[in-house]
Amino acid sequence: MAARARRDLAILFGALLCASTATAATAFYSVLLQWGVTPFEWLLLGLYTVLVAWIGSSFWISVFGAAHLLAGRRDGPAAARVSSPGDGACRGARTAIVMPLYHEDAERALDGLQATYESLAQLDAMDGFHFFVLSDSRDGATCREEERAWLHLCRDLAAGGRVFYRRRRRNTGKKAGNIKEFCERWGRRYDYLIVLDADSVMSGPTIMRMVRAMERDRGLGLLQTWPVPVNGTTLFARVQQFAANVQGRLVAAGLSVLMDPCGTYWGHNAIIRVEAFMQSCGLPRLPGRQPLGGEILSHDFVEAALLQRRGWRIRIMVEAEGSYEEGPTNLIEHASRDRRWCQGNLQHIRLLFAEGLTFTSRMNLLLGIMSYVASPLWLAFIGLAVIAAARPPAFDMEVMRAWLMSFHSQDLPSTVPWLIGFTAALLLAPKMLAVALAGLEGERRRAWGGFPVLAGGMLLEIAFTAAIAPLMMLLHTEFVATALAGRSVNWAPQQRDADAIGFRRVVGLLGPRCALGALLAGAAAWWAPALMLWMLPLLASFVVAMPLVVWSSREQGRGHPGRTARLFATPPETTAPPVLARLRTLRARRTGQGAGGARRDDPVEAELSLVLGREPAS
Amino acid sequence: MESYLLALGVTDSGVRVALVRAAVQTAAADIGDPVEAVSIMRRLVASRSARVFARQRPRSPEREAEAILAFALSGAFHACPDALVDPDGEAARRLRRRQTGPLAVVPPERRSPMPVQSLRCVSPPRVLKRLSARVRPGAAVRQRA
Repeated sequence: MAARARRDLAILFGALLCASTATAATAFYSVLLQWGVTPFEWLLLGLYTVLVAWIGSSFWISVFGAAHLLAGRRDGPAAARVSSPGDGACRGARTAIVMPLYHEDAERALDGLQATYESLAQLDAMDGFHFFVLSDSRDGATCREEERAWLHLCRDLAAGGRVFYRRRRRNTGKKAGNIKEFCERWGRRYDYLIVLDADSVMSGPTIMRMVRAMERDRGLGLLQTWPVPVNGTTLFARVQQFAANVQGRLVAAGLSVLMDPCGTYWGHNAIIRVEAFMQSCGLPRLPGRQPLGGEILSHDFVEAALLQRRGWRIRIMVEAEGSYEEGPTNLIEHASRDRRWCQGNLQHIRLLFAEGLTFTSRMNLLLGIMSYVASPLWLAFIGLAVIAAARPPAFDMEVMRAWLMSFHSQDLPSTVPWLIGFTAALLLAPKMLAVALAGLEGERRRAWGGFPVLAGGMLLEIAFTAAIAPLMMLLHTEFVATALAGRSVNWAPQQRDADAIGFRRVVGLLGPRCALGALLAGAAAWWAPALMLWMLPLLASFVVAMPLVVWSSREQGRGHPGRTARLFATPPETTAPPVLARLRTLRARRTGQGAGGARRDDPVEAELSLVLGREPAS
Repeated sequence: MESYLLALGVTDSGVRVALVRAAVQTAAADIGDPVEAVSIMRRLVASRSARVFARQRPRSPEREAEAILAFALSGAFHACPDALVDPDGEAARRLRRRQTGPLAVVPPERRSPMPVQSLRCVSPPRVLKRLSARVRPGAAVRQRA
């Protein structure tokens, strides 16, 4: 796309966002005007404007994404080429595919690497590729497991001299430091670096397309693929991956078209030009102590910004297949990941005005910050609305009866339903748009289980998300508050296997939060009867949240009614591409073997211990 | 000896028999002690693995370990164990040809440090001023001029 057209699109996006925000803010102001605007209400209006701009940005990104995908469909392969780089020789490019690990289930992670390796091997394209398992683990037993998994992988694939395992003595700089150390030691041997996460899988053809794209465009510093969430087996994971599959593609396409060529980096499933990365991405320690100072945690956005600062281009490649990741299996894991990300993103507040960053980079950092700061803003908005509408009834039976009877006769300005509808449209229209778009794609529509199943799934997803949204708002508010108060989080690994969580554990973790939320919602309903109907869903959500968290953490096996009805089915689940099918086979084999399947008395492990100059493990 | 070879992943019984025979031949006397037997077999496997990859004959337990490890990581115990029976034969040549990269251990390279970038903040009004200059087309033209 020409630079001028890109700029015009960005201006159009800005104008539409401003228009939708101004429309909503004006309507809200007219509502407030009915009762006279107090300072509290001015504050309320300010918060609403920020929040409606935030949800408006997601809405318009999705609209642009939908338009881009539709244009791609209409124009056929020529347009698709813009977002999915095509053919061409690799001309001896050397690529390192790296998988950083930190206290992960190594065998599980390396199953993904094996599926990726085999997919590339089938293309007879292994010559240009080396694979590195970059461990940052500290625990001796975990390290031995990693070595064992690597040995088995090499032996099974006959991949000695092509798949390497390296463990750092000190994990300075966490994941970013891990990659940096790799680049400093071996980066010069390679033209490109493909970064995988411990739950990433990529297909050979997609990797080849990425390498070719980098070869074609010498100014391209980083090409980020859109990682499709897959392999969720619990209800929670399946709902999340369903939403990401339906709507995520739209958002990715929108970002791709709006940010191009100053895209973003999500930390994995991306190819990086090593030369560009090495000259641009040496991250400094931020002055001051953690959580806002110290090592940069959410390094990906910052690395993207630094690459752009040096003039390197970053693009997002939106394809439905070939790049996958796995998500958290339950809400507890999801929240624990969010807590780490929240702290990392809040660090970016200090970088918003860093010297030399492009406008797009600053916006990207701001969007990342807003994904967590939006929650305390929503909470503050609700709190202020309650204060503004406060009319506490007295404890008298007659007054109570009158109060209860008065709900249906609340005088609301006529703008209110319109305003509610507009806000809801901004929130929900991207989902509807995504469903409509998926419904247009014949082959993919069948993979979703047909349009009615797809639409039904989306409605249930909205209900599920709405049910946990107040709890997530409370959790995010807590994360933001604790981070700003100076409490840092541990760098804990994610639990990736489905393991149902017990009610007792959920009560221990979420009970006090849900109780607080329910108490606040109840008190607010009491204090501001006009908002009673608004507070009831919040109250209900805090009541059902814990059973829902427990229930949604349970595995949905093959015979589960939800699966047979194809509810929350996604194309990668129903028509698994070869690389995912292979991954499932590997996982099933590993699960079948169990712990007894591991070769504990392996003489090769003893030889490895001897080479490394230590006592054998067993 | 057989169980040692099996643990290494030599599933071909013919190869196992041939290797055991070769190990027995190399032993000066009758091998009664199983630990000694495994040790003899290990040395034989190490020396033949080294020959397959055209390496020097290993002279220490560490070098032997490296040779065995290289052979194991190449998947050859599974795929072409007959290279151990005849380290100069066709199977061994095939294996040598296939083995292109470094073996087992990543060769250390001279470190090329990544320069640490500055993330010093500029004052927000300066950023806004620059931004407004970019947004206003006339100002941008004047700035370029």
